[in-house]
Amino acid sequence: MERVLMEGSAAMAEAAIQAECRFYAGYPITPSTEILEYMSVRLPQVGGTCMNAESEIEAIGMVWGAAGCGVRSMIASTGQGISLMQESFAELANAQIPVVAVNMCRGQGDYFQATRGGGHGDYRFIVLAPASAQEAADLAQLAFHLADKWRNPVLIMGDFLLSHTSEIVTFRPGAYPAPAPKPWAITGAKERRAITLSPLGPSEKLSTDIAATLTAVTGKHAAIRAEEVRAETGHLEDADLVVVAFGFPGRFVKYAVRLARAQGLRVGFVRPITLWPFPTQVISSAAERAKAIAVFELNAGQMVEDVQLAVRGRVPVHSIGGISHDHSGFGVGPLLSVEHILRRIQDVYPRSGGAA
Amino acid sequence: MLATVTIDRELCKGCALCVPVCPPKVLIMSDAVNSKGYRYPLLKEGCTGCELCAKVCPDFCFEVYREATLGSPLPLGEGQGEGSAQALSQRNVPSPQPSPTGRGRQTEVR
Amino acid sequence: MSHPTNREPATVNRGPATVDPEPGTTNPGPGTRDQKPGTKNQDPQTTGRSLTKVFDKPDLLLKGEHSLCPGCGEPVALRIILELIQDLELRERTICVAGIGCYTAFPMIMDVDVMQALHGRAPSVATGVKRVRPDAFVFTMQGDGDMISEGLQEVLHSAARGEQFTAIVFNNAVFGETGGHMTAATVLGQHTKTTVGGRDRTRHGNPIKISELVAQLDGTAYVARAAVHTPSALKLTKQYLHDAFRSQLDGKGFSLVEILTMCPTDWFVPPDQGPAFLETHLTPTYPLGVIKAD
Repeated sequence: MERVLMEGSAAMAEAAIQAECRFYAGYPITPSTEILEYMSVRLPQVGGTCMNAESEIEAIGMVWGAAGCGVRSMIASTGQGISLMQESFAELANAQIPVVAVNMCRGQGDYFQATRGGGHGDYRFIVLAPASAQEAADLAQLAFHLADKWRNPVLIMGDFLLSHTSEIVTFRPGAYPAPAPKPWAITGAKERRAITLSPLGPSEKLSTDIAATLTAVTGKHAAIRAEEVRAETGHLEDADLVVVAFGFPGRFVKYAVRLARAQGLRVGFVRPITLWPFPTQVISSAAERAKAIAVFELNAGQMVEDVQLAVRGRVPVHSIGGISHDHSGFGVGPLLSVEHILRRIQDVYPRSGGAA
Repeated sequence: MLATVTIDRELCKGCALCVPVCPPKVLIMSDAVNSKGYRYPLLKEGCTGCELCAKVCPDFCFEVYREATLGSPLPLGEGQGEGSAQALSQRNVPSPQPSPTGRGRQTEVR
Repeated sequence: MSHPTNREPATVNRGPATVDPEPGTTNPGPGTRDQKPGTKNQDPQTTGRSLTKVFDKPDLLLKGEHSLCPGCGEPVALRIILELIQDLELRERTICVAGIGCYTAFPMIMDVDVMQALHGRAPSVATGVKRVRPDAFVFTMQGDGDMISEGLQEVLHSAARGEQFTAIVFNNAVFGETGGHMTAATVLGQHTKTTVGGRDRTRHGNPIKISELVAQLDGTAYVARAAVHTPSALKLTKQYLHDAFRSQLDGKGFSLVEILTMCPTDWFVPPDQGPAFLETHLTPTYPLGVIKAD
């Protein structure tokens, strides 16, 4: 298996191509633009199509068309662009069209947008949060597999550091089964009945059962929650304080936890890999043993709400992150430092029998 | 030539667009109404099978029948009737046409 | 039919087509009384004469019944589109991308594959479809509110890119489905619920002529404007749609056919006044004809 040095954006794009993604549409926006650039070069080499659309809304429309024809399709953008796409996102979910979307975030303030739906109506995206270029490649492959498996869009959350940091990546083509046939895909009614692919109603002609259509969209949520949770954990068996963090900042937290433990503090961590379905049970179990939970995220407090739902008041939950920007506005700021995180861990570490 | 139409009274929504387009004026709207409350067309004697009522009807109420005599257009499915794709392909229409109403400016073709 | 189909059995409400003759009038001629559908009528007095069905709704129309208004022009346009797809034997290759409007009721009665898009967004969806399925025959079905208001950017960009699909717009100069509101195509002087008393240039701006606008873009191969309010306009509609379809099949670029359709409900006229309203109010702003043909 080949080992290459690649930045996170390129690793994600290459893995997508190896997962048989053959259509990409996007619009330049920092820090997601490198995926569009990579696809512009690579997709034509494998007989695919890459479109630099004139707007984010047109880009997601093109992805809708291609994915609706049964072709694995992808789009990447950043928070503002993802905001523009929300109507289409919601209706893609209603039409049960599998697409893989990427939000290379500026900071981590798009957690609500990603996990609460962002658009209108009752739907969820499966949300994956890689913390390294290797994991970005692995989760890109997983994303296409899950999108097809559940006929549900999947969103991958990255950030500026993930996008631009080069690391060693080992690609694993064939990690998941080849795409299965898609009888719902629009291909022209050759030797079969004609069908409709619509967010507004069923696939069969002459039917208007919109209630059944919309119920089917949410009917699979329970099964997704049961089967697709993924998280990385460490030192939970003796932790008095458990720190929860996602994405690239999760690696900073892991390192700070190592330093804290070297100082004798019994600290553990949970790094959700799926933000939806959220690893509620993992955190709930950790809260049964620990004395406090700390949440480090680069925003004003978003994932902390999911953590509080999991903890249910059994132990205190502290927000130890915050909004962190440098002059670039791309979300890599002074709070994202191991020393700072270690100080915050020390601040909230539960001492002698009680909460901090 | 012998001709007639059948009219699906329950599909009709009483728009009456068929009445003025009929060249021999053999369609009149009923006094009775269908189950949705719409009047529907009735056919008098003299239908020529010109198909205009069927073509303007938004509700697909009409089927048109004609006597198949020598020289008359062939029945459905042969693809050779006036307005079929084959007939259209044989027309020579590459350049802009004047407006059929004779009004409106003709935009120049680049 | 050789392919599996959703077609329903024909409706059976066809009553006798003739009126009873009044006393004293001559009897109706042979062949016109008690005509049963699909049968040939042999009159013993005129041996050898028989009636054959020469016109029916298209096979690709799965059902004649629909929920659109009395006198609506959109079903008439739909009929012509489906006839052409049938005549050109395109059913198995056809992918229709539908916008949002009254015509959103059509996909379920069309015997072709349809991808339902969002309001204004059919051109970008059609772009994705045609790019990954270049052998498909792809057309959009949109209204003026959908294409010229919400989706103006989408159709212009698709045309400039020369995307190889045919965009079809049913232009009735009003938002029909929402109950009669101004679109970018509403004509000056036209009364709607948001242009009370008539569209006024100062307060409501000017209508956009989408065909002329699209025709200016390189990448556009064929643009024409037709209508469905008179029999001769219907012929133009079929001709222009045919030529646009041919343009796509020959790989010449983007094609657009604008079809003026009646909306008596949201023009606030009786159904039988729709054609006259179209002629007097719409065609001065939107003249019929071929605007561009490569």
